[in-house]
Amino acid sequence: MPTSRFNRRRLLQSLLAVGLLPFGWRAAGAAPSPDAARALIEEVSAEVLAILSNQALANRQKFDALVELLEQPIDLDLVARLILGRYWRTTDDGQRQQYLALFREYALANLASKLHLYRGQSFEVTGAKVVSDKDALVTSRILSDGEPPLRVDWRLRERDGAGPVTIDLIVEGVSLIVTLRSEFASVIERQGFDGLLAELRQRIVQTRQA
Amino acid sequence: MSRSLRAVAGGAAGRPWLGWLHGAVVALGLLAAPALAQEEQNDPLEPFNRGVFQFNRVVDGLLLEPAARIYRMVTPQFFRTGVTNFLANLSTPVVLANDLLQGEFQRAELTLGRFMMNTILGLGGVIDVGDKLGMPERHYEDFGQTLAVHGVASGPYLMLPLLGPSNGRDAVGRVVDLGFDPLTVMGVAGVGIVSEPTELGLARTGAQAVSLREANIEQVEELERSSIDLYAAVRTFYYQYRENQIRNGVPADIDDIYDENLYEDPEASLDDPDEAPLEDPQGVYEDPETPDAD
Repeated sequence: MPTSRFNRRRLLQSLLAVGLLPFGWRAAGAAPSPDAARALIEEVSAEVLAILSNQALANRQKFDALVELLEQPIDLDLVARLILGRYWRTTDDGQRQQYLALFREYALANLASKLHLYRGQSFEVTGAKVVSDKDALVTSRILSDGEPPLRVDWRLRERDGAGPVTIDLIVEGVSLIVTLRSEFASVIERQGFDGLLAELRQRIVQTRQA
Repeated sequence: MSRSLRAVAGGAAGRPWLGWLHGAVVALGLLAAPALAQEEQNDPLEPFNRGVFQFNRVVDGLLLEPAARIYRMVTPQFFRTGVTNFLANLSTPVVLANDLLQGEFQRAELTLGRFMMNTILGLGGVIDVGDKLGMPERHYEDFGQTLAVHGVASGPYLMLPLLGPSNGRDAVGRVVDLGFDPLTVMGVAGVGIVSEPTELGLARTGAQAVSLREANIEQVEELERSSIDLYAAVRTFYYQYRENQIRNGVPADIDDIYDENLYEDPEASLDDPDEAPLEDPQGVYEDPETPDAD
């Protein structure tokens, strides 16, 4: 296991832009250890980078490889649920199933559309610490030529005995979950829950066409 | 009366709209209660703001984005980095003033040291010498942040024509910052608020807009494409980004959003939503609005 001094450089912006990194189940107990959390981020980012920088792969193949890599540690359903926040319990079962399926498509469509954004940026983990009784935070920076470094924080939680998983991505203080929650809530307030589902459907189609 | 408030009031004399802005901000309750976590939804002017947002997007599409693309096409990266550095260096006096007003003396020292080095050794700021020498990353302060540090709430969200997202506190901050800028005060680079507009001042403002827009072409494109409510996305983006700046990058304390138990008993199965007892230990969600799902 890499120590806390081990610095893996690089990662890809595309993944960050979507925020499609391992998301997990609810906490089973204590927060993950900072070393374990850091190790996971370094390990996953290295594998993701290996895929993205592989010249032999077409975008479609990269996409498939990423989905496969991230499938196992992801619980997109929980992410989707945290994003919905208090609206979760105002929905019925049918609406939930539709929402969860659409959210997954929405996330994958976004991942696919962002693969081209990777331009050889480098990545380094700068720290890790426990931030609540359930979660640890890993801090990192993305470095690209001619631009100021981008600070990216990863929030991780312990999954029942299976090690830490990422539950949020925070870029320069902007949280993926908080942002999508605010956006989705705005649509629900204006157009109702079915309006949200319709907007997601439309977004998925548009993203695929782009 | 503090220097900053005098600057606002004094400057208002010959510029009626500034006086209006000042009055409006106070009237809108800028100096009211301290910030709450929910404040990002503080948007009583939403219909008006959405209108301005549409206007800004049209202007962006007609002018700013094309200008940014041309700028990118005709200049090499090192040139654009130089421009970015130069503009950042020019804004240093404002950062320094606000470092001091926040009592951040170590950061003020860094700001001043970097300014001297970059100006003298870095061709007037074109080269970020501080960065080459391994100084900590450049930081930004403004009067909106200074007000926040001293306990002023953000006030209502505002979408300003041409200037983009803001709020009551930050709009006042912008005006005060113009008063901290030696170039504006001396009338060298005025933009028509604190001093008369000059070509240099307008050129600088234009350069800042195009430079910033160029750096964000892809990000804006992605946001526009993936966002299901761009207005709401920009609003929360601005709120979170400013809060992060105010905390000087210290991670936010927002544990509540990661607690799914606030919304529902996790043990209750998805198949049986009606049976789920409502767990709301903190009383945060006592009065949920039922969306009109139809």
